[in-house]
Amino acid sequence: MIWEIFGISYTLAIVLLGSAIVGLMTGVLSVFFVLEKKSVMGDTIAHSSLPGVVVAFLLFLEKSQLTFAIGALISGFLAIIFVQTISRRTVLKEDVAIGVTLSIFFGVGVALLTYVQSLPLAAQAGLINYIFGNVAFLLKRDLYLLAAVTVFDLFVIISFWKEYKLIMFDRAYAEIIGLPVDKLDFLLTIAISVTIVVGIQIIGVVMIAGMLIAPAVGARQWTNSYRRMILISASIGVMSGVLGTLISANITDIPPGPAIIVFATSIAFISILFGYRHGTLVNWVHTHLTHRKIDHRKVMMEFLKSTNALDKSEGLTRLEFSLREYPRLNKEIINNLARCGYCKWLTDEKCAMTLRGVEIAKDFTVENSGSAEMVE
Amino acid sequence: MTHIINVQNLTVAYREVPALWDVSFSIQKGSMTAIVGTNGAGKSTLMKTMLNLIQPVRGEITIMGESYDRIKEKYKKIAYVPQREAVDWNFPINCLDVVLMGRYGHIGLLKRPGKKDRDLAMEALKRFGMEYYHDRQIDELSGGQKQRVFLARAYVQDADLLFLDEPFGGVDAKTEQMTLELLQEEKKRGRTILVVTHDLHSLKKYFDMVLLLKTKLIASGQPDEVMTPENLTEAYGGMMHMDLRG
Repeated sequence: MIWEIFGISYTLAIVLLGSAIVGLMTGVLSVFFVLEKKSVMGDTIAHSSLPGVVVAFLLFLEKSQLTFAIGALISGFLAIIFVQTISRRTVLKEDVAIGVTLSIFFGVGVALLTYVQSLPLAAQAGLINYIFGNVAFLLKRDLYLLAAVTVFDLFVIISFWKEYKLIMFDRAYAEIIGLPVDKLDFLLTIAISVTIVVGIQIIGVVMIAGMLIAPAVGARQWTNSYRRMILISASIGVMSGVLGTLISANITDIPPGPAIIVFATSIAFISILFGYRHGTLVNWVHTHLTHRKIDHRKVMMEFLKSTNALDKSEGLTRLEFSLREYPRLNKEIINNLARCGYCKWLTDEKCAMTLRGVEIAKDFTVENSGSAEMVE
Repeated sequence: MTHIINVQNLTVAYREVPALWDVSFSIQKGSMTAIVGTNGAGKSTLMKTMLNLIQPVRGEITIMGESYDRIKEKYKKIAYVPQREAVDWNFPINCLDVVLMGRYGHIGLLKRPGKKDRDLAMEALKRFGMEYYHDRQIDELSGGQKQRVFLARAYVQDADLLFLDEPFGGVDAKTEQMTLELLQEEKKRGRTILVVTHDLHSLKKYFDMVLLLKTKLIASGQPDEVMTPENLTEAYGGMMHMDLRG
């Protein structure tokens, strides 16, 4: 079998596949949370699903993924309704409403869980895993459920690709041109809730909230394209899922949830530093280079201005500038320009512009007059 | 004369504070109307209520004889250029994609924009002098350029009615004039245009009708009739001294 090639056991193969799938789903959906600026909503659903899981267990006194999922879904939805009611009916803002709801639901969940732990029941073991997640119990049939949810998520996102893009970018316009904004919102909420509910088994209620933010935050640093952001975010999700699970499988006492999250946030952090589009380091280098480029352009254009003023019969290449006459020309800039072949040194103090340099400077002048607005 | 928009006894309130009080007017097909007044006079509220983004307390709005909910194929009828604050400028999207959004209604659900839509969007960018910037992220543009991209989006949508909510906020005089000229052209093609604006100087030259608001509708009609010293004092208080004859 294929997992034998990699020297891993059947169980580990199942577990890896499971966490890769959860990573993929959360990676994709995190883009929607981050772009909609609703990251805390994922947090709410995730934390609030805990009491649902415990109540489902208390009702049926058995560990069944399906009953847990339904319980989690119900309490997650209740929490959202709670948040909406508070923020619509009272003067409290949404973030306050979320804070209140999240702590109440999670608090009740933990309290119930502690109570259940004290019960003399054999089946209660493992329920605590819903907080930090555990992949050890993942079975092949659980994979089918995960796969089904993934297919559903991807179906929703791919089918309404352009609609979600528009709703997130400019909601009012989407409503005005007659898109079914509310229905599409509802569909996405369902996709997200179902994902959280099946995902908590693996990475836990506390950690899944982080997985609904970190991959997209990382991805945003690398691109300005919506499509690429989703692809990169999905990759970060899968990578974190697989690496986190491998760590957790090889080092005992590290649960997979935290391990996965550590990877995802590390990737996000590295992206914030080194990201090609918005990374801090890249921005710094870019600013530095732009300043230098502007210096060069200014000097070249100054050259050209003087060229126009001087007698052209002497031939453009013979035009000489002395550093003393033009205090703005400094040695370093001229050295750089000379390296590009735009001008050359005649003596220590004097330089001349080459024909090529004149052409380039003319281009700059044209470009600059055309894009004055660009620079502002 | 056909009235494309009819507003009857419209009252809108935010909690208990009225934003619009008993406003009634009609707008003719193929006209260009300015909505003016101080900050907080209800200009944007009026536009948003007409666009069904805000629910009125009382009153009735019909567009082409229908209430907003019942308008079929809205994208063919109503285009909208939002106020600047309404858009997420950090969104990972380039200019061409923004303009393409104007085609979404035409493309329909579950389908993707094709080459024809792309060509139309590129053409619209050209028309507004923005084709060079088609692959720029939207926030890398200046205020005037952003405005032009949104005008291109409205243009490519090819709708009968065009709503612009403060299109001249933070835009230089040249861009404003260019925009007004382009709107004039659209008007000549039979489109009806509504603009929320602060610029009273352009009213007489470009607009057929002015709605002067201060929660209530102080006056409506042709710019000359509306922008009288008495009306202006009522709308703007005693601070307003304007020579509108120019």
